[in-house]
Amino acid sequence: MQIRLNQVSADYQLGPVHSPRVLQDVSLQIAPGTFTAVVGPTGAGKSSLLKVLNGLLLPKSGWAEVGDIKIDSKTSKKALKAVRKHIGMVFQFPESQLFAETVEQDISFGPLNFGASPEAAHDLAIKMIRQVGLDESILQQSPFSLSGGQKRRVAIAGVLAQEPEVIALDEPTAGLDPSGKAELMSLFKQWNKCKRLTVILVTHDMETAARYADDAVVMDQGKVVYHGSVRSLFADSEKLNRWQLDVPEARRFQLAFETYSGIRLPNVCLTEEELAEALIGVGRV
Amino acid sequence: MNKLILGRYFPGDSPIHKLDPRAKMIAGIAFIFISFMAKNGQGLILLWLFTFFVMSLTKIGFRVFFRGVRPLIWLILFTVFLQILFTAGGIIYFTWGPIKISEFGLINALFIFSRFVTIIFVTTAVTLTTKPMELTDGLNFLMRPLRFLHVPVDELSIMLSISLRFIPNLLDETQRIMDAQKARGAVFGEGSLFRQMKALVPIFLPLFSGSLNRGEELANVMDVRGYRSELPRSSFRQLTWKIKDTVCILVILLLIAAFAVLNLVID
Repeated sequence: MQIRLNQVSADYQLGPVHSPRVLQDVSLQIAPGTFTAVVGPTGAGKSSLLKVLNGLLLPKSGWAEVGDIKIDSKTSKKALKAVRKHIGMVFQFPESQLFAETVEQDISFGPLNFGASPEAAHDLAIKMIRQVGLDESILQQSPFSLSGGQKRRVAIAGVLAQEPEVIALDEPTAGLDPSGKAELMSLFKQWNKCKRLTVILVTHDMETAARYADDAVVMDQGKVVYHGSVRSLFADSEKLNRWQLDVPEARRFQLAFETYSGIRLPNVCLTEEELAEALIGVGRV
Repeated sequence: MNKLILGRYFPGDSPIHKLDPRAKMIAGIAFIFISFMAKNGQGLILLWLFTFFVMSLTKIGFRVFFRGVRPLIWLILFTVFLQILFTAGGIIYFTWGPIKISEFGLINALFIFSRFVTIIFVTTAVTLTTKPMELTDGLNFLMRPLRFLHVPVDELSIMLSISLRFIPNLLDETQRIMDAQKARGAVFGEGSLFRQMKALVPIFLPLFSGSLNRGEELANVMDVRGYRSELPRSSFRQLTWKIKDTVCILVILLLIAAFAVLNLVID
């Protein structure tokens, strides 16, 4: 599903607090089936960008387009609901959205809202709970009785159950242990690869961005300052410095290695595996 | 949610902002009683004049005050119409069954309306110009005599200040959960009343469970940092009574005197 933003500007109002121009003239195009990481400092407008895609924050000026539905300041509620069907949104700490008596009811909430029959929703719940790596028996438990990691997975299953074509993730692994984090991320990667789901991932963690994403969008003060492949982003140390982005460990090792040894590795290494391969390659010559 | 004015603080540096919260609260409470002293036309005019005087001193736009009345407007109109329709006396303009529109009814309604609105305006002026923390400090001070009746005044005021402190967090969280449920296709404010109520469950349950968790965490943190309820507590924010606070009280006394004189002279 094609996603386009055309000169979107947006404000944010919560109670008396008004934040002007959280997004400024953002133009962006995300191709179907890509895995895009959105990075940048706190307050750069990353989460707001996701909200615009989902119609939770309407553009003050400009428009966004999801598939063939256009979102601007005057889009109807009905059209927004159609957009939300296509875009599954996993918020920060999604476990705080659990509410139902049983896990199954919670997972079915989305599909039922989007017009699925109760039987279909039931089947989806079973399918999704397996997909996120939990046992079917958990479906009849109360979501409040689960552990933090389990709650997170249930919440994500609830979003995926609406069978979106795009998943927008806002720091989905924050607060998880390293193994839980890796499991969840490879799950998203797998969906991206096998089901051609478009994944948009907001993250502060450059390791995650480097390892899983194909493309990167860098945001700074409400503007998109970079949109291109992850590899060429991390190749350019000067830019990374300017936007205060971390360098992934493997890449940092590579840079230090190249400085001390005087040997240049053939490609930009983003993960340990790539680094090991490149080093072995250099050693053989 | 954005319409609620009660309990919201509008920053500023007007003379009213600078008053001691105790002075403002005493004056506000006194005004409620004063409004009942207005028994004649002149009194009514004085009541309104004083109200507008206070409102303009706050340097906050009148529109904000009008918004403060809005949530109560139905209650006010209800009482006003009750007065108009069911009070008899004086010249009767219109009769229909038990309903009588009379001179006394109209006058009574005018007084009740004025009392309601001026009280709301003046108390809103107090809450708009006083930080929530100052309000609880002031309240703590004013409730001190209750200690002799073994009322846990300090605990009550710390409970109050904690609740006030967490209102912004709660609003924030409500917004977040609403967004999350909307993203899952929930629609709010549509359909029959029953459906609308049902749509609120996915917001309130997470909100409740989140608040309970936060309450427990906060209690633990307070324990760890040595909070003990039975010990006397000192305060970081000290209230100081200044000359202008005395002036404020004097103005209120003057107002009481003026009403007393008006009532005596005209009767």
